[in-house]
Amino acid sequence: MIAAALIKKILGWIPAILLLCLLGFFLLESVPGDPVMARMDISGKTQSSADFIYESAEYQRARKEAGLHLPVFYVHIRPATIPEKLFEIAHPEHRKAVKQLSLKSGQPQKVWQWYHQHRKLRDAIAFQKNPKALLIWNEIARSSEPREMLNQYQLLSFQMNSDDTKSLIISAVKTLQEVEQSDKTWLQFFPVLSYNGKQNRFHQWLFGTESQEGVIEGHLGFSLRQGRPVTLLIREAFGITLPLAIAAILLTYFISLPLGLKMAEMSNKSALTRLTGLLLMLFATPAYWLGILMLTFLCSPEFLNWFPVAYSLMNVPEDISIIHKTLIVSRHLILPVTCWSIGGVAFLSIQTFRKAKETKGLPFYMAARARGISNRKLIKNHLFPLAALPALSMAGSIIPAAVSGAVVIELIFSIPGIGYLMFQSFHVRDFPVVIGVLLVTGVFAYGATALSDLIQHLIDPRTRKRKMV
Amino acid sequence: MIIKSIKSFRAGQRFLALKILLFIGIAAPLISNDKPLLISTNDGWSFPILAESIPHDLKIKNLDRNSEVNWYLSPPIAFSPNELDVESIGLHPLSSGKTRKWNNIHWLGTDHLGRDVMAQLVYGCRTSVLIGLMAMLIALTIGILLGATSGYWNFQNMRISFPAILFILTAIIFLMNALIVLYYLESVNFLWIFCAVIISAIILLHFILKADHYFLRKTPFKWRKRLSISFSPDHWGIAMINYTTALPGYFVLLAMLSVWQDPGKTGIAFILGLLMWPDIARLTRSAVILAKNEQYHEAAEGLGYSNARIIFAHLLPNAVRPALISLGFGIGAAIIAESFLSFIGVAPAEMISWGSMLSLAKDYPELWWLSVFPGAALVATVLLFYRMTTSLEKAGD
Repeated sequence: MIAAALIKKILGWIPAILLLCLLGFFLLESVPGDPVMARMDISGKTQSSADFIYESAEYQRARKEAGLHLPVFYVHIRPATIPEKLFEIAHPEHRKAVKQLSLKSGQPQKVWQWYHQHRKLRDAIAFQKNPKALLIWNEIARSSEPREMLNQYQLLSFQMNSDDTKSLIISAVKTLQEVEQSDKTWLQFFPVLSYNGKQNRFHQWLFGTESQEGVIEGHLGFSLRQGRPVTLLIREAFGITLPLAIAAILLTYFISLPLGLKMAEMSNKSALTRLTGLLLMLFATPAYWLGILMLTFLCSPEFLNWFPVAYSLMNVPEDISIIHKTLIVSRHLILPVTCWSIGGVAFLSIQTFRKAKETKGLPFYMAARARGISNRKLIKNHLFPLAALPALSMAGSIIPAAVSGAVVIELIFSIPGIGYLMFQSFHVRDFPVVIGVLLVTGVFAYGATALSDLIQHLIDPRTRKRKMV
Repeated sequence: MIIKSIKSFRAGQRFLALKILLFIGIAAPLISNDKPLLISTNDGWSFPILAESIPHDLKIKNLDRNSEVNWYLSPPIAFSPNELDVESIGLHPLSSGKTRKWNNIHWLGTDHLGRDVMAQLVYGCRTSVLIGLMAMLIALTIGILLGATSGYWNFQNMRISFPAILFILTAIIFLMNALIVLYYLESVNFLWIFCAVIISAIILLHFILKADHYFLRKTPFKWRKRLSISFSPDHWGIAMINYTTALPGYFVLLAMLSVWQDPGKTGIAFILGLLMWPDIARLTRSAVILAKNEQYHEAAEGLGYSNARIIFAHLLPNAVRPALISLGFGIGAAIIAESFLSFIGVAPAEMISWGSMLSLAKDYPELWWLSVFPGAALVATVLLFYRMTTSLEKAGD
């Protein structure tokens, strides 16, 4: 019975992971700029030769590797005036021009036919090695004004002399004239729905192809800046973040639970008010400001120089005693971990305090007190199990907050963990790393939340029944 | 009676902090400016503060040397936030510039470029409050709609007929098509398209549900099950709330902003709102469920009112209270998130914000007032919103 419920709970997180993957994929898709150019090494080539890069075999191959010759998603909605295989055109400006042309004319088949005739013309021009004609050809392909394009064709026909190119030009002009004369713009308000099957970019990105592993199998692509696999970068960074995050979460619980119970025991009303106010203030304090204050006043030579500014646990010497090593490590860790957990401590101790105060008014507690049970046993057996419940159910929001706090803390204290990796790759626009980190941290937070959910399910029998509110 | 009046006064002061912050935000140019409010010369009075740009000798720091001016009215802080001054770089709090006149004192010091910290604080308040309120407005819209739907159909499945489903799908496809066409034409702002689509989708959905209601009422009972499917909005509503809560917020923010390169204030508020609706939705959901047990709901159902009318006219007016009360926490969190984004340099550079002031503090640790005062203002603002929420909660009990 319990096992079935547990399995059901775990299965409930699968749509979440799929949605997260969808978010990551579409963020990756909407990256500004040409994704193929980012993959290719074009550092030596100048901007003026961009047209020739797009036509080169190298570009076509890179485009195919990136899967850009495929549709984006399983289903595809397009206005009826857009050609179905628009994504097959490699040159982004040509693609845009064809799109605009077919939107204006409402003749997608004719425009598509014209583009293919125009491409055949390019082969003929390239065969004759006529650079001026090639320039005119490019001008035509980039334009979306049929009138101008027809004029350009006239110029082109002066440049080319052989008969087969003349006939190619004539057929292209004929198609273009037909495009120019028709005006079916109203067609754009009618959508066409097409199903692409498994041959689409999302499917290949998620599940992989024969030659490449997918995201599900743990392949997140390569960093644009460093050229190393994203998985490797993330694994290195996670190894640094994970112990810190666990330490911060444990510290949160070990401080806030006793503190909340202690506050419920307090008889001094004004001290209690002051303590609650202090906790609320700590909760309102942004962790990064606390970090800056610590760095300004505790780590700088102007004020107190107690702690090291930079996090450098890699350089701890091997040949020193364990006590000395622990001292060095704790000297590095004490500020980040404190800063990381302080918001959680404030929040959780107030919650625990409220619950404990509420529990103290319940009849079973008063009965236990009337029986003369010692204070210690009273807290241990009667107060604590109920007062700790919010701490358990709040884990679902505390753990994701702690994970996302990694960005703040690691940035301030320069810890080379996952948050720092995210920030760095954000600044240099290294999109595969950004999306990879998003997916990994998201799945990690989902897993932790599901785990806390399961623990609550096992410990508190009341959550097993479906509640009304 | 006295106690009662004191209590009512204190109850009225819950929003005092909010009022003060809003006042500072709206009236920032009147509070801190390097143009005088009012100048009296022999020709008469003039209001330089209304002018876009004024001659150099009419600025406050030069007015004392200007013999034409009889007297002038200065704003409380006589500096502009972006006014650079090479002669007063890195001044301590309470130190003055050239003359020791009251309006020439830098109350909270200056930064490494000689800009007055107090003036920047005033303008930063404007940004923070604006973004906090806008983000919460978006979160409130999403959260209340989703929470109300989820709570109304809790333990009860929504039944939709196949014609209605077909109609909805077609409508969605047509709407998306319109979106795509507008996007291709590249003439309309994306945010406006989004708003237009959402509004038209809501209107469309209303008519569809109404048609669906009549369709199902006219069909014979034994066909009803075959002609419709049932699904549980509550199940998926709770799932969406859980999924969004469990996302690591700053990672999602950074990932979205890495793609959206120039978001501006509206964009940042929009993304923050998209991440902050779950709490509001959860509170609204449980309040709607409680309101459903009341008798007026039963009466409304007995009168045969439509679902939309029951939700919007009967249940929600009684169920938005918890969500509105918790708004203070949300605004506080949004302000903290916004200041962090400015701190790491995501926000537009010309936007003056407490976060961008704090990012200077990291580079100049010897100018301690750069880190202390903006941070204190931040904590105070967030705390004021939190106190507002807690006092409203207490009043509710």
